[in-house]
Amino acid sequence: MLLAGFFLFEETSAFASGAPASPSRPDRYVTDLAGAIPKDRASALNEKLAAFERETSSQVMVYVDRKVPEGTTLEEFANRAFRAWGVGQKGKSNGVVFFLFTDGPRMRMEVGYGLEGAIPDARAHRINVEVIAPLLKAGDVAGALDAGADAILAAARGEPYKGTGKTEAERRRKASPFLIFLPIGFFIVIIVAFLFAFRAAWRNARRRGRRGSSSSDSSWTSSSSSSSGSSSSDSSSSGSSSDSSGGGGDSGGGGSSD
Amino acid sequence: MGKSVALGCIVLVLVGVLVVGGMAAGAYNKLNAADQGVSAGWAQVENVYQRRADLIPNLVETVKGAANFEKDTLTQVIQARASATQVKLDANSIKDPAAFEKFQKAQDGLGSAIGRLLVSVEKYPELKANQNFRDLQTQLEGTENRISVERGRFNDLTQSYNTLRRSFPTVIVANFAGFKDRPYFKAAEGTEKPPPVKFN
Repeated sequence: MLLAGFFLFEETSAFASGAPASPSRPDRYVTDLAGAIPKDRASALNEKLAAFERETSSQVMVYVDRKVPEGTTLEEFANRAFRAWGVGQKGKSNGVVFFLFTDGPRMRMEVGYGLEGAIPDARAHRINVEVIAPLLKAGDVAGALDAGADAILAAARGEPYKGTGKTEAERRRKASPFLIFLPIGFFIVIIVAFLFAFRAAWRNARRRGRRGSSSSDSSWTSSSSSSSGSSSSDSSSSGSSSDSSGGGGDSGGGGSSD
Repeated sequence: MGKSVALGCIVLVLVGVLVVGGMAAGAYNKLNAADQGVSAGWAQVENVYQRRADLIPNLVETVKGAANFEKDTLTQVIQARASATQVKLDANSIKDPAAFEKFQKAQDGLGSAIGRLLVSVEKYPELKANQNFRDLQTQLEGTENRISVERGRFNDLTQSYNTLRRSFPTVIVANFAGFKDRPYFKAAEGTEKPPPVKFN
Protein backbone atom coordinates (compact mmCIF):
# COMPACT_ATOMS: atom_id res chain seq x y z
CA MET A 1 0.00 0.00 0.00
CA LEU A 2 2.67 2.43 1.06
CA LEU A 3 4.84 1.36 -1.83
CA ALA A 4 2.00 1.91 -4.25
CA GLY A 5 1.84 5.48 -3.01
CA PHE A 6 5.49 5.95 -3.77
CA PHE A 7 5.11 4.60 -7.26
CA LEU A 8 2.36 7.06 -7.95
CA PHE A 9 4.66 9.88 -6.92
CA GLU A 10 7.38 8.59 -9.14
CA GLU A 11 5.16 8.74 -12.18
CA THR A 12 4.14 12.33 -11.57
CA SER A 13 7.64 13.70 -11.18
CA ALA A 14 7.45 15.61 -14.43
CA PHE A 15 10.01 18.32 -14.85
CA ALA A 16 9.55 21.85 -16.08
CA SER A 17 11.91 22.93 -18.82
CA GLY A 18 11.48 26.64 -18.30
CA ALA A 19 10.25 27.56 -21.76
CA PRO A 20 6.50 27.89 -22.39
CA ALA A 21 4.77 24.93 -24.01
CA SER A 22 4.61 24.77 -27.78
CA PRO A 23 1.24 25.38 -29.43
CA SER A 24 -0.57 22.20 -30.41
CA ARG A 25 0.02 20.93 -33.90
CA PRO A 26 -1.92 22.84 -36.55
CA ASP A 27 -4.11 20.53 -38.61
CA ARG A 28 -3.38 22.42 -41.82
CA TYR A 29 -0.14 23.03 -43.65
CA VAL A 30 -0.68 26.77 -43.57
CA THR A 31 -1.54 28.44 -40.28
CA ASP A 32 -2.18 32.17 -40.24
CA LEU A 33 -2.88 33.44 -36.75
CA ALA A 34 -2.01 37.00 -37.70
CA GLY A 35 -4.57 37.30 -40.50
CA ALA A 36 -1.75 38.33 -42.81
CA ILE A 37 -2.81 36.51 -45.96
CA PRO A 38 -6.16 36.21 -47.77
CA LYS A 39 -8.09 32.99 -47.16
CA ASP A 40 -8.04 31.84 -50.78
CA ARG A 41 -4.29 32.33 -51.09
CA ALA A 42 -3.79 30.39 -47.85
CA SER A 43 -5.89 27.45 -49.00
CA ALA A 44 -4.21 27.42 -52.41
CA LEU A 45 -0.83 27.23 -50.69
CA ASN A 46 -2.18 24.58 -48.33
CA GLU A 47 -3.25 22.49 -51.32
CA LYS A 48 0.16 22.86 -52.92
CA LEU A 49 1.93 21.67 -49.78
CA ALA A 50 -0.45 18.73 -49.40
CA ALA A 51 0.27 17.72 -53.00
CA PHE A 52 3.97 17.91 -52.22
CA GLU A 53 3.58 15.50 -49.33
CA ARG A 54 1.61 13.09 -51.50
CA GLU A 55 4.39 13.20 -54.05
CA THR A 56 7.49 13.13 -51.87
CA SER A 57 6.29 12.36 -48.31
CA SER A 58 8.16 15.48 -47.18
CA GLN A 59 6.07 17.84 -45.06
CA VAL A 60 6.48 21.56 -45.51
CA MET A 61 4.46 23.80 -43.21
CA VAL A 62 3.97 27.54 -42.85
CA TYR A 63 3.18 29.17 -39.52
CA VAL A 64 2.36 32.87 -39.28
CA ASP A 65 1.71 34.70 -36.04
CA ARG A 66 2.10 38.24 -34.74
CA LYS A 67 4.99 37.83 -32.34
CA VAL A 68 7.19 35.26 -30.67
CA PRO A 69 5.63 34.16 -27.35
CA GLU A 70 7.05 35.71 -24.18
CA GLY A 71 9.79 33.84 -22.39
CA THR A 72 11.32 32.13 -25.38
CA THR A 73 13.45 33.00 -28.37
CA LEU A 74 12.60 32.62 -32.03
CA GLU A 75 15.07 29.76 -32.44
CA GLU A 76 13.96 27.92 -29.32
CA PHE A 77 10.28 28.33 -30.13
CA ALA A 78 10.80 27.06 -33.67
CA ASN A 79 12.82 24.03 -32.67
CA ARG A 80 10.50 23.02 -29.83
CA ALA A 81 7.41 23.42 -31.98
CA PHE A 82 8.97 21.40 -34.80
CA ARG A 83 9.80 18.62 -32.41
CA ALA A 84 6.44 18.68 -30.64
CA TRP A 85 4.58 18.56 -33.95
CA GLY A 86 6.76 15.79 -35.32
CA VAL A 87 6.99 17.37 -38.75
CA GLY A 88 8.07 14.93 -41.47
CA GLN A 89 7.83 11.17 -41.58
CA LYS A 90 8.97 9.11 -38.66
CA GLY A 91 12.51 7.89 -39.10
CA LYS A 92 13.10 10.27 -42.01
CA SER A 93 12.44 13.61 -40.33
CA ASN A 94 11.88 15.11 -43.76
CA GLY A 95 10.05 18.24 -42.74
CA VAL A 96 10.43 22.00 -42.93
CA VAL A 97 8.47 24.63 -41.04
CA PHE A 98 8.67 28.24 -42.07
CA PHE A 99 7.85 30.55 -39.15
CA LEU A 100 6.95 34.17 -39.78
CA PHE A 101 6.20 36.65 -37.01
CA THR A 102 4.73 39.74 -38.61
CA ASP A 103 5.63 42.16 -35.80
CA GLY A 104 9.24 42.70 -36.57
CA PRO A 105 9.11 40.97 -38.92
CA ARG A 106 11.12 37.97 -37.85
CA MET A 107 11.33 34.64 -39.57
CA ARG A 108 12.95 31.29 -39.22
CA MET A 109 13.09 28.25 -41.43
CA GLU A 110 13.40 25.15 -39.26
CA VAL A 111 14.71 22.17 -41.21
CA GLY A 112 14.39 18.56 -40.04
CA TYR A 113 17.37 16.21 -39.92
CA GLY A 114 16.28 14.44 -43.09
CA LEU A 115 16.35 17.56 -45.24
CA GLU A 116 19.52 19.15 -43.92
CA GLY A 117 21.39 17.71 -46.87
CA ALA A 118 19.10 19.34 -49.41
CA ILE A 119 18.55 22.54 -47.45
CA PRO A 120 21.73 23.32 -45.52
CA ASP A 121 21.81 26.48 -43.44
CA ALA A 122 23.36 28.58 -46.18
CA ARG A 123 20.60 27.62 -48.62
CA ALA A 124 17.90 28.31 -46.04
CA HIS A 125 19.48 31.64 -45.33
CA ARG A 126 19.53 32.58 -48.98
CA ILE A 127 15.88 31.68 -49.41
CA ASN A 128 15.07 33.84 -46.40
CA VAL A 129 17.15 36.79 -47.50
CA GLU A 130 16.91 36.70 -51.26
CA VAL A 131 13.43 35.30 -51.92
CA ILE A 132 11.23 36.05 -48.95
CA ALA A 133 12.60 39.22 -47.36
CA PRO A 134 12.30 41.50 -50.44
CA LEU A 135 8.63 40.60 -50.95
CA LEU A 136 7.92 41.05 -47.25
CA LYS A 137 9.55 44.42 -47.38
CA ALA A 138 7.28 45.32 -50.28
CA GLY A 139 4.31 44.38 -48.09
CA ASP A 140 3.29 41.31 -50.09
CA VAL A 141 3.07 38.67 -47.35
CA ALA A 142 1.09 36.14 -49.39
CA GLY A 143 3.47 36.54 -52.33
CA ALA A 144 6.47 36.13 -50.00
CA LEU A 145 5.08 32.89 -48.57
CA ASP A 146 4.20 31.58 -52.04
CA ALA A 147 7.63 32.32 -53.45
CA GLY A 148 9.33 31.06 -50.30
CA ALA A 149 7.35 27.81 -50.41
CA ASP A 150 8.27 27.34 -54.07
CA ALA A 151 11.94 27.82 -53.24
CA ILE A 152 11.73 25.39 -50.31
CA LEU A 153 9.95 22.76 -52.41
CA ALA A 154 12.51 23.13 -55.18
CA ALA A 155 15.33 22.72 -52.68
CA ALA A 156 13.66 19.80 -50.89
CA ARG A 157 13.35 17.88 -54.15
CA GLY A 158 17.13 17.53 -53.96
CA GLU A 159 16.55 14.70 -51.52
CA PRO A 160 15.11 11.59 -53.22
CA TYR A 161 12.16 10.90 -50.93
CA LYS A 162 9.21 9.10 -52.42
CA GLY A 163 5.63 9.76 -51.50
CA THR A 164 2.86 7.21 -51.16
CA GLY A 165 0.28 9.27 -53.00
CA LYS A 166 -1.34 10.06 -49.66
CA THR A 167 -0.62 12.50 -46.90
CA GLU A 168 -0.11 11.27 -43.35
CA ALA A 169 -3.53 12.72 -42.43
CA GLU A 170 -5.25 10.85 -45.24
CA ARG A 171 -3.63 7.59 -44.24
CA ARG A 172 -4.67 8.03 -40.62
CA ARG A 173 -8.19 8.97 -41.55
CA LYS A 174 -8.50 5.73 -43.41
CA ALA A 175 -7.19 3.65 -40.55
CA SER A 176 -9.00 5.37 -37.72
CA PRO A 177 -12.59 3.93 -37.87
CA PHE A 178 -11.19 0.45 -37.50
CA LEU A 179 -8.84 1.44 -34.70
CA ILE A 180 -11.57 3.24 -32.79
CA PHE A 181 -14.34 0.68 -33.20
CA LEU A 182 -12.29 -2.42 -32.59
CA PRO A 183 -11.89 -1.89 -28.82
CA ILE A 184 -15.43 -0.56 -28.45
CA GLY A 185 -16.91 -3.59 -30.18
CA PHE A 186 -14.78 -5.88 -28.10
CA PHE A 187 -15.90 -4.15 -24.92
CA ILE A 188 -19.58 -4.47 -25.84
CA VAL A 189 -19.18 -8.19 -26.54
CA ILE A 190 -17.60 -8.73 -23.15
CA ILE A 191 -20.27 -6.78 -21.30
CA VAL A 192 -23.08 -8.65 -23.03
CA ALA A 193 -21.40 -11.95 -22.23
CA PHE A 194 -21.15 -10.95 -18.58
CA LEU A 195 -24.80 -9.94 -18.46
CA PHE A 196 -25.87 -13.32 -19.79
CA ALA A 197 -23.58 -15.11 -17.39
CA PHE A 198 -24.90 -13.19 -14.41
CA ARG A 199 -28.49 -13.78 -15.41
CA ALA A 200 -27.86 -17.48 -15.73
CA ALA A 201 -26.07 -17.66 -12.41
CA TRP A 202 -28.83 -15.74 -10.69
CA ARG A 203 -31.53 -17.99 -12.11
CA ASN A 204 -29.60 -21.05 -11.10
CA ALA A 205 -29.23 -19.79 -7.56
CA ARG A 206 -32.94 -19.03 -7.29
CA ARG A 207 -33.92 -22.38 -8.65
CA ARG A 208 -31.55 -24.14 -6.31
CA GLY A 209 -33.01 -22.23 -3.39
CA ARG A 210 -36.53 -23.33 -4.34
CA ARG A 211 -36.08 -27.02 -4.98
CA GLY A 212 -32.74 -28.08 -3.67
CA SER A 213 -30.17 -29.14 -6.25
CA SER A 214 -31.50 -29.74 -9.83
CA SER A 215 -28.17 -28.99 -11.50
CA SER A 216 -27.25 -27.77 -14.96
CA ASP A 217 -29.61 -25.57 -16.83
CA SER A 218 -27.06 -24.77 -19.53
CA SER A 219 -28.28 -21.31 -20.26
CA TRP A 220 -24.59 -20.38 -20.64
CA THR A 221 -25.01 -20.16 -24.35
CA SER A 222 -25.19 -16.39 -24.82
CA SER A 223 -22.20 -14.51 -26.17
CA SER A 224 -22.87 -14.87 -29.88
CA SER A 225 -24.17 -11.32 -29.80
CA SER A 226 -21.78 -9.88 -32.34
CA SER A 227 -22.47 -6.12 -32.43
CA SER A 228 -19.29 -5.38 -34.37
CA GLY A 229 -18.59 -1.67 -34.72
CA SER A 230 -20.80 -1.53 -37.84
CA SER A 231 -18.19 -0.16 -40.19
CA SER A 232 -19.02 3.53 -39.78
CA SER A 233 -21.07 5.43 -42.32
CA ASP A 234 -19.17 5.28 -45.59
CA SER A 235 -16.32 7.47 -46.79
CA SER A 236 -16.16 10.82 -44.90
CA SER A 237 -12.58 11.06 -46.02
CA SER A 238 -11.40 12.86 -49.12
CA GLY A 239 -12.94 16.18 -48.23
CA SER A 240 -11.76 19.04 -50.36
CA SER A 241 -9.60 20.60 -47.65
CA SER A 242 -6.27 18.90 -47.06
CA ASP A 243 -5.31 18.35 -43.47
CA SER A 244 -1.89 17.71 -42.12
CA SER A 245 -0.76 15.18 -39.51
CA GLY A 246 2.64 14.75 -37.97
CA GLY A 247 4.64 11.65 -38.71
CA GLY A 248 7.18 12.03 -35.90
CA GLY A 249 10.08 13.88 -37.48
CA ASP A 250 12.79 15.66 -35.53
CA SER A 251 15.06 18.62 -36.04
CA GLY A 252 18.34 19.41 -34.37
CA GLY A 253 18.05 23.12 -35.01
CA GLY A 254 18.99 23.16 -38.67
CA GLY A 255 17.81 26.00 -40.85
CA SER A 256 18.23 29.72 -40.60
CA SER A 257 16.74 32.77 -39.00
CA ASP A 258 16.52 36.11 -40.75
CA MET B 1 -0.76 -27.94 11.84
CA GLY B 2 2.80 -26.77 12.56
CA LYS B 3 3.95 -28.19 9.26
CA SER B 4 1.44 -26.24 7.18
CA VAL B 5 2.30 -22.98 8.99
CA ALA B 6 5.96 -23.51 8.16
CA LEU B 7 5.08 -24.25 4.56
CA GLY B 8 2.97 -21.13 4.37
CA CYS B 9 5.85 -19.07 5.71
CA ILE B 10 8.22 -20.46 3.12
CA VAL B 11 5.80 -19.74 0.29
CA LEU B 12 5.26 -16.22 1.60
CA VAL B 13 9.00 -15.55 1.77
CA LEU B 14 9.48 -16.95 -1.74
CA VAL B 15 6.73 -14.75 -3.11
CA GLY B 16 8.22 -11.76 -1.32
CA VAL B 17 11.66 -12.44 -2.76
CA LEU B 18 10.19 -12.78 -6.24
CA VAL B 19 8.26 -9.52 -5.98
CA VAL B 20 11.18 -7.54 -4.58
CA GLY B 21 13.56 -9.08 -7.10
CA GLY B 22 11.22 -8.24 -9.95
CA MET B 23 10.90 -4.67 -8.78
CA ALA B 24 14.66 -4.34 -8.45
CA ALA B 25 15.17 -5.71 -11.94
CA GLY B 26 12.58 -3.30 -13.30
CA ALA B 27 14.23 -0.35 -11.57
CA TYR B 28 17.62 -1.42 -12.85
CA ASN B 29 16.37 -1.66 -16.42
CA LYS B 30 14.76 1.74 -16.23
CA LEU B 31 17.94 3.28 -14.87
CA ASN B 32 19.95 1.62 -17.55
CA ALA B 33 17.68 2.90 -20.30
CA ALA B 34 17.84 6.45 -18.94
CA ASP B 35 21.61 6.19 -18.62
CA GLN B 36 21.93 5.06 -22.23
CA GLY B 37 19.68 7.93 -23.25
CA VAL B 38 22.06 10.42 -21.67
CA SER B 39 25.00 8.82 -23.44
CA ALA B 40 23.21 9.03 -26.78
CA GLY B 41 22.44 12.67 -26.08
CA TRP B 42 26.11 13.19 -25.39
CA ALA B 43 27.06 11.72 -28.75
CA GLN B 44 24.85 14.33 -30.41
CA VAL B 45 26.50 17.10 -28.41
CA GLU B 46 29.95 15.95 -29.49
CA ASN B 47 28.72 15.75 -33.05
CA VAL B 48 27.72 19.38 -33.22
CA TYR B 49 30.87 20.56 -31.49
CA GLN B 50 32.86 18.62 -34.05
CA ARG B 51 30.85 20.30 -36.77
CA ARG B 52 31.90 23.66 -35.44
CA ALA B 53 35.56 22.65 -35.18
CA ASP B 54 35.43 21.45 -38.81
CA LEU B 55 34.22 24.84 -40.01
CA ILE B 56 37.09 26.76 -38.49
CA PRO B 57 40.00 26.02 -40.87
CA ASN B 58 37.88 27.23 -43.77
CA LEU B 59 36.83 30.31 -41.83
CA VAL B 60 40.40 31.14 -40.89
CA GLU B 61 41.55 30.81 -44.50
CA THR B 62 38.78 33.04 -45.78
CA VAL B 63 39.38 35.72 -43.20
CA LYS B 64 43.14 35.55 -43.61
CA GLY B 65 42.87 36.41 -47.29
CA ALA B 66 40.76 39.50 -46.76
CA ALA B 67 41.74 40.77 -43.33
CA ASN B 68 45.37 40.14 -42.81
CA PHE B 69 45.52 42.64 -39.96
CA GLU B 70 43.63 40.49 -37.52
CA LYS B 71 46.57 38.16 -36.88
CA ASP B 72 46.08 38.10 -33.12
CA THR B 73 42.41 37.31 -33.27
CA LEU B 74 43.02 34.60 -35.84
CA THR B 75 45.77 33.00 -33.77
CA GLN B 76 43.50 32.99 -30.76
CA VAL B 77 40.82 31.15 -32.73
CA ILE B 78 43.32 28.59 -33.98
CA GLN B 79 44.69 28.00 -30.51
CA ALA B 80 41.25 27.76 -28.97
CA ARG B 81 40.25 25.22 -31.60
CA ALA B 82 43.37 23.17 -30.92
CA SER B 83 42.72 23.06 -27.19
CA ALA B 84 39.02 22.37 -27.65
CA THR B 85 39.64 19.40 -29.93
CA GLN B 86 42.23 18.06 -27.52
CA VAL B 87 39.74 17.68 -24.70
CA LYS B 88 37.92 14.53 -25.74
CA LEU B 89 35.41 12.83 -23.51
CA ASP B 90 34.20 9.30 -24.07
CA ALA B 91 30.93 7.95 -22.77
CA ASN B 92 32.48 7.03 -19.43
CA SER B 93 34.41 10.15 -18.57
CA ILE B 94 31.41 12.44 -19.03
CA LYS B 95 30.15 10.99 -15.77
CA ASP B 96 33.08 12.71 -14.07
CA PRO B 97 32.06 16.31 -13.23
CA ALA B 98 35.65 17.63 -13.31
CA ALA B 99 36.39 16.26 -16.79
CA PHE B 100 32.99 17.47 -17.93
CA GLU B 101 33.73 20.98 -16.73
CA LYS B 102 37.09 20.97 -18.48
CA PHE B 103 35.43 19.99 -21.74
CA GLN B 104 32.82 22.67 -21.39
CA LYS B 105 35.44 25.30 -20.59
CA ALA B 106 37.49 24.48 -23.68
CA GLN B 107 34.44 24.60 -25.94
CA ASP B 108 33.20 27.85 -24.41
CA GLY B 109 36.68 29.30 -24.97
CA LEU B 110 36.46 28.42 -28.64
CA GLY B 111 32.99 29.91 -28.83
CA SER B 112 34.09 33.25 -27.47
CA ALA B 113 37.22 33.33 -29.69
CA ILE B 114 34.99 32.87 -32.73
CA GLY B 115 32.70 35.57 -31.41
CA ARG B 116 35.61 38.02 -31.11
CA LEU B 117 36.74 37.21 -34.62
CA LEU B 118 33.31 37.83 -36.07
CA VAL B 119 33.12 41.17 -34.28
CA SER B 120 36.57 42.31 -35.46
CA VAL B 121 35.69 41.30 -39.01
CA GLU B 122 32.91 43.90 -39.05
CA LYS B 123 35.58 46.43 -40.02
CA TYR B 124 36.20 44.83 -43.40
CA PRO B 125 33.43 45.58 -45.87
CA GLU B 126 34.95 43.57 -48.70
CA LEU B 127 34.99 40.50 -46.48
CA LYS B 128 31.39 41.02 -45.49
CA ALA B 129 30.50 41.23 -49.17
CA ASN B 130 32.31 37.96 -49.88
CA GLN B 131 29.72 35.26 -50.57
CA ASN B 132 31.96 32.51 -49.27
CA PHE B 133 32.40 34.33 -45.99
CA ARG B 134 28.69 35.03 -45.69
CA ASP B 135 27.90 31.34 -46.19
CA LEU B 136 30.47 30.44 -43.57
CA GLN B 137 28.95 32.91 -41.18
CA THR B 138 25.50 31.40 -41.72
CA GLN B 139 26.90 27.95 -41.12
CA LEU B 140 28.56 29.10 -37.92
CA GLU B 141 25.31 30.64 -36.70
CA GLY B 142 23.49 27.46 -37.58
CA THR B 143 26.06 25.39 -35.75
CA GLU B 144 25.84 27.55 -32.65
CA ASN B 145 22.10 27.07 -32.73
CA ARG B 146 22.48 23.31 -33.07
CA ILE B 147 24.90 23.34 -30.16
CA SER B 148 22.40 25.08 -27.94
CA VAL B 149 19.65 22.69 -29.05
CA GLU B 150 21.71 19.59 -28.34
CA ARG B 151 22.97 20.96 -25.05
CA GLY B 152 19.40 21.64 -24.02
CA ARG B 153 18.33 18.11 -24.94
CA PHE B 154 21.30 16.66 -23.14
CA ASN B 155 20.33 18.58 -20.02
CA ASP B 156 16.72 17.37 -20.31
CA LEU B 157 17.87 13.76 -20.60
CA THR B 158 20.29 14.22 -17.71
CA GLN B 159 17.57 15.72 -15.61
CA SER B 160 15.18 12.85 -16.15
CA TYR B 161 17.97 10.38 -15.43
CA ASN B 162 18.99 12.16 -12.22
CA THR B 163 15.37 12.44 -11.11
CA LEU B 164 14.86 8.75 -11.67
CA ARG B 165 18.11 7.91 -9.90
CA ARG B 166 17.09 9.83 -6.80
CA SER B 167 13.43 8.79 -6.62
CA PHE B 168 12.59 6.46 -3.83
CA PRO B 169 12.54 2.79 -4.54
CA THR B 170 14.94 3.21 -7.45
CA VAL B 171 17.61 4.98 -5.42
CA ILE B 172 18.32 1.78 -3.48
CA VAL B 173 19.01 -0.14 -6.67
CA ALA B 174 20.98 2.82 -8.06
CA ASN B 175 23.26 3.00 -5.05
CA PHE B 176 23.69 -0.75 -5.01
CA ALA B 177 24.53 -0.94 -8.73
CA GLY B 178 26.73 2.16 -8.68
CA PHE B 179 24.65 4.57 -10.77
CA LYS B 180 25.88 8.12 -10.08
CA ASP B 181 24.37 11.53 -10.73
CA ARG B 182 25.43 12.96 -14.07
CA PRO B 183 26.65 16.53 -14.59
CA TYR B 184 24.73 19.20 -16.51
CA PHE B 185 25.85 21.84 -18.96
CA LYS B 186 25.94 25.23 -17.32
CA ALA B 187 25.62 28.59 -19.00
CA ALA B 188 29.02 29.81 -20.18
CA GLU B 189 30.95 31.89 -17.67
CA GLY B 190 30.19 35.59 -17.93
CA THR B 191 26.83 35.11 -19.65
CA GLU B 192 24.94 35.56 -16.37
CA LYS B 193 25.50 39.31 -16.61
CA PRO B 194 24.44 41.10 -19.80
CA PRO B 195 27.32 42.46 -21.90
CA PRO B 196 27.93 46.20 -21.72
CA VAL B 197 26.69 47.99 -24.82
CA LYS B 198 28.89 50.77 -26.14
CA PHE B 199 28.07 53.16 -28.93
CA ASN B 200 31.02 54.93 -30.42
